[in-house]
Amino acid sequence: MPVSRQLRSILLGILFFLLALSLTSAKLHAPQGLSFMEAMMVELTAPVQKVVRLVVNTVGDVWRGYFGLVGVQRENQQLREEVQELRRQLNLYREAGLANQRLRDLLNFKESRVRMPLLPAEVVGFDPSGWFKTLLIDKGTRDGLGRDMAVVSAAGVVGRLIGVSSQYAKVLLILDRNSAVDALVQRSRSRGILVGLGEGRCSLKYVQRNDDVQVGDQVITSGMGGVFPKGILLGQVEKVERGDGVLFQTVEVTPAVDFSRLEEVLIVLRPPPEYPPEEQTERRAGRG
Amino acid sequence: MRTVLLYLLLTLIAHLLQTVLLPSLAPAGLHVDFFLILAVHATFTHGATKGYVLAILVGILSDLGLPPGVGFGPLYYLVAVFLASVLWQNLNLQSRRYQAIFLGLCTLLQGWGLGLILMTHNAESAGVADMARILVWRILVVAIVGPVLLSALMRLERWQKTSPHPEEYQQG
Repeated sequence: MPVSRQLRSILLGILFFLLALSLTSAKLHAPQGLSFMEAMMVELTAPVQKVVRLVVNTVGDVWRGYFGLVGVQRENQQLREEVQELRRQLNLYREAGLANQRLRDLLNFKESRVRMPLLPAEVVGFDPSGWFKTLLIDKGTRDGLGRDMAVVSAAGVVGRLIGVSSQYAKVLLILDRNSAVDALVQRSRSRGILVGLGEGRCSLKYVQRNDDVQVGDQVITSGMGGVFPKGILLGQVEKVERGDGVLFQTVEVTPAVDFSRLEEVLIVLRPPPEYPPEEQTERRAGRG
Repeated sequence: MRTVLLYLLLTLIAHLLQTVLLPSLAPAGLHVDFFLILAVHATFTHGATKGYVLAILVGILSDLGLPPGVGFGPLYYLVAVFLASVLWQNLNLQSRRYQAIFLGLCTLLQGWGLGLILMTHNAESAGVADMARILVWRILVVAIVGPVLLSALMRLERWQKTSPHPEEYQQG
């Protein structure tokens, strides 16, 4: 290879390296949400994703519905939906009962939850790298969405919005390692922070060693932090470990939502919380 | 021009596979990084410079799903392309065995980078253990599937080059 050609390829390599470095740096220090280029990429690719996802879902439904167990599949789906609805109702009643016992103002509490406007959205796609737990939905700023709005489903909390373009929005799932939600154990009212562990599991951190937490307990949102409304189901306690000489117990939680079958979500339409400037940097890292 | 369109189409297909099909069909451990295979293939066939351009493009696409404050796509794919171009000249990367090792090492590099990012984000140890398990699976899967896909892409490229241009049809 001639020297000039070798030099040119080295210079090009350095140029591309600097470009990649600046793109990475821009991503790390992005002020909030999606950058202009990201929003443009999302707007370009998401419509195709939406169509392909629709085709995949339709083919999947046809396969499951007709080539599989036709009647059983349909009945199973109905029963699943019914169980989910009953669970949601049971959760509401249980929460209302406990609130009654503690002589709280039930009416105000209920109103604060039910009167919140919800917007349905369809799931368009997931994180391309596969390492993070995020998804893309087909609603954006033109539908009134903003950063840090809560995303729920009939089964419970899904996550929160971390980036919004005009027609699409990115959701950080509670499963993601960057997610943190202030939570309560419904039965004992023990408090903790629910953080994602990545693969279908979460961990309830900072639960005091002497707090009463048992396997099977329901974990709900505490309403603190201003992102999630209070009392929405997060998941169920799967494992509790109390080590010697430690301040906190290890609590593993299985999320209430089956993320592998998530097709539609609801966005809680309310103004996102306003944080003081010093908190913004911390929030960007995913603490909700 | 046809090659550019082909690569844009392949990138879009890889993006759709990774954002729609794989998450619905396969567990996280069985996800193949199609972007990596595409970038490496472009480097083998068209040289480092075109490989770098594609690396930047797939890097940006790959970062679309990441949470705020996290980003490594363009840099990672660029390093992979750089290594591929250097090794292509100095090693026999046409051998499937070497290709498998190379793609496995790239995936390991990605996992290592991600581990560093997670450490800075104070990830739970259980989550990191899960990630390590997934990483081992991904290395194995990419080492098996990667060379096969590279070979398929080579064939596609050869077919695209030998097939007559639409204008030639008109002339003929």
